[in-house]
Amino acid sequence: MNGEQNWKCAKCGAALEMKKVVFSYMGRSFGHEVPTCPECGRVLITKELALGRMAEVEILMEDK
Amino acid sequence: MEQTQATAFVENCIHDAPAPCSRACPFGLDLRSFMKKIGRGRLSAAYREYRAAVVFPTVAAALCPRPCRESCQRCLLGDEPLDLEHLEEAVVRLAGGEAPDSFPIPEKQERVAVIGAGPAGLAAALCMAQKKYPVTVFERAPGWGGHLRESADFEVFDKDFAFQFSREQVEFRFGEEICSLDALGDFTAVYISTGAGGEDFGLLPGWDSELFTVAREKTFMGGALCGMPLMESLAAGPELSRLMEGAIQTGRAVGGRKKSRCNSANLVPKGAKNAPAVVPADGIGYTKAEAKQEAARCFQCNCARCMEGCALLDKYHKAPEQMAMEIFADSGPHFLSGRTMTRETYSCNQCGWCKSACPEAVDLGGLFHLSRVSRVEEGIEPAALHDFWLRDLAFASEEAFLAASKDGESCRYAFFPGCQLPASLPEQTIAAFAALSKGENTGIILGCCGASAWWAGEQKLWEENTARLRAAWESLGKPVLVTACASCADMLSRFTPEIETVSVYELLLGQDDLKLTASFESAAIFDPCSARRDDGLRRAVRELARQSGTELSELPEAGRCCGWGGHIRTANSALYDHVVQQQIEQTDLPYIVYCANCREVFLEKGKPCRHILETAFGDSDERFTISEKKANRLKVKASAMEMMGMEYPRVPHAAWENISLLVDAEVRREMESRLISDEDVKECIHVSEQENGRFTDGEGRYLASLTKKVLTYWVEYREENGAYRILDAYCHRMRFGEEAQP
Repeated sequence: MNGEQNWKCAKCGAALEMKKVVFSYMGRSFGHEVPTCPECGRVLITKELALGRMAEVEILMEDK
Repeated sequence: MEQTQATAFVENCIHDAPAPCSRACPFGLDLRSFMKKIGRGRLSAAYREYRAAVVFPTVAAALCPRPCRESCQRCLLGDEPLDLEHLEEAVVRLAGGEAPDSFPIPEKQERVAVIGAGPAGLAAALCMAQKKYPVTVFERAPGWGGHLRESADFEVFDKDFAFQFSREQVEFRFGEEICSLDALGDFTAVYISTGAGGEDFGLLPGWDSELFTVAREKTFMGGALCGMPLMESLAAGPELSRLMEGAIQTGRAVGGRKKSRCNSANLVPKGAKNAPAVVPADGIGYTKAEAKQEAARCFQCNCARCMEGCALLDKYHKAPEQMAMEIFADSGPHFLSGRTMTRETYSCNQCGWCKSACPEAVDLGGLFHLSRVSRVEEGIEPAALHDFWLRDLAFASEEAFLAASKDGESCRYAFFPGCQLPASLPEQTIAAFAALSKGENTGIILGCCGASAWWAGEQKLWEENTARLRAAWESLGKPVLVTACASCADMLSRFTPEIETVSVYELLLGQDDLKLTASFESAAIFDPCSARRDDGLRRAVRELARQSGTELSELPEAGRCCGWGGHIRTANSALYDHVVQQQIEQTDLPYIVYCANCREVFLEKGKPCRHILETAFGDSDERFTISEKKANRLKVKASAMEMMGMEYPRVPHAAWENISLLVDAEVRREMESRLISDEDVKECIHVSEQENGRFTDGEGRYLASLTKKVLTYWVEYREENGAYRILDAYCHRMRFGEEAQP
């Protein structure tokens, strides 16, 4: 539901920009671009990402 | 984890152990493999396998008494055993022209003497010659064969001997009698096989039947001279040659005849059908087609009871020994492994069915539990898989915990309903407590038996919980604990045997004024897996159901896990769904259960189902959310305290407790399936509002996140008349914005 919305950072009022963020799980880390507040650095994880690709990678990492 | 810790679980496993027929076979022939080859029409391959075991195929085919026939599992079905006589004869006749194997290995220097050219001596001589030792056979008779020379079939055997020796260099010295071993000359090793009553050179009294050795260096003895039957004498050839070679190379014979694991279980496969033995059309011997047809009757007996009956073991279909090795290899971060056993480990229901079905009681559930414990110890456990349940355990152990009796007196009984019954059926729990309290100061302990920590492999938490429970029990004067959950009773009997227990159902059965109302006209009893060992409990529940007027049926497979066990749902939701479906489909009848978890599982999937306490204290059509269940547990605690004249303690409220949520059915369904509670959502909103750390669409919608110890929660919401309308809630396991994982 929230993936297509035009989210802004409530604190800074800034429009979000795609930025590479470090993700880590089960002792492994990797970078991925996600919407981020350019001012305070708050990261937004959409439902599509959380329940889609992220969930897939979580399982892959648990199985590796 | 030590390797032996894992392999100890499967050391008695008989999967891939020799089939009963092979164990009975004097040659230990792998009859599964032999039959498979014939069944596929690979007669040459079958012949080679046969010859490697029996050494002289025509002799074995003609003279073996075939004790294997009595062990054939076909007999258990009332069929004739596999017709080995015709099968062996056909293989030898149809494929026996195959030249003997002769391997291109280096010639050895050490000379070997064989005294006696009977079957035992010939078998040993041939096997040593195949290892390229220079062999000399001494025989006082004018030719080989020993007592077989008197057989009507000797001509056939004679040809076979010549054929099998045709590719090896062996010196035969017939008509030469050895009277003293010292006169033998320069031989490194000697095999004495002079036949029944033959010359033993005074060495027979020191004969070792396992190693074939005697009290003379590098000297061996076997065959009829030592009382070995003909087939065993032939069968000794390959083993003797191994021992003799060891003695030549290292100075001593080690190992001895291999002892196989016992595969004595009934191995008739499920659904096996009768099949008559194939009779040769010509009345003499099988054609190739007939042999194939007869060999196809072989069940290929191999115990796989655990894999046949358990959805998890069937899905991954790994031999227990292999699983133990993989679990060991996967037990620490120091091992390199491309694929782990994580999914298998956390997909086990821990229901103990595999152990109960295994003829050798191999405990694969215990192996998976060891794997879970080891992962926690090594700090490599996927914490997200059990996070919800460990948080639930913390709630049960703290806020919802209670150990009390009226006026703090010691009591004979204390009700221990477990954690899920008060959550799902609070009114019935209180009614049961009231019934137990009639005329007696019955205490109560509200808490968890520790199953959640046990299943998570959290040994330390589990020990803490057990200690807490034991202290509570002692504080009430060590009463008999009245359990309502078979898992609690099972955990208590296994780990705190000093605590006596009885089920609430057995006590209720003795109450004359109990009013029972049938929940269903007819139903099947669904026994929880943890009640498998508790006959009294199973009987009491059936009796209560019968007294209520319900016509009861038994399930084809009682005592199977409903799916809840082991808390596998987060780790493997597909397998969980499959297990639940399997249990639902056992019958179209509704279920009467006596485990609150079974009830939850079946109701969620739409299977009509009632807890036996509903029969006693009224049906409940309500299914509660995660948060309502927590509230119910507190409600039960408050009611119990009130019944005992105690004051409910004031618990400091969380800052977000007064937030009101509006959640429609679809969002609620998703929250429940993702195990997201109202408290998580409220905390997330509260924290983000405090810090204004959230996202907005500028039109009143907000998206907030909260990273807790294991999971990160996201909540999309908008304010609505002082409350919060939840538009979505989801969570993930991965951390972001951090270099290293906590």
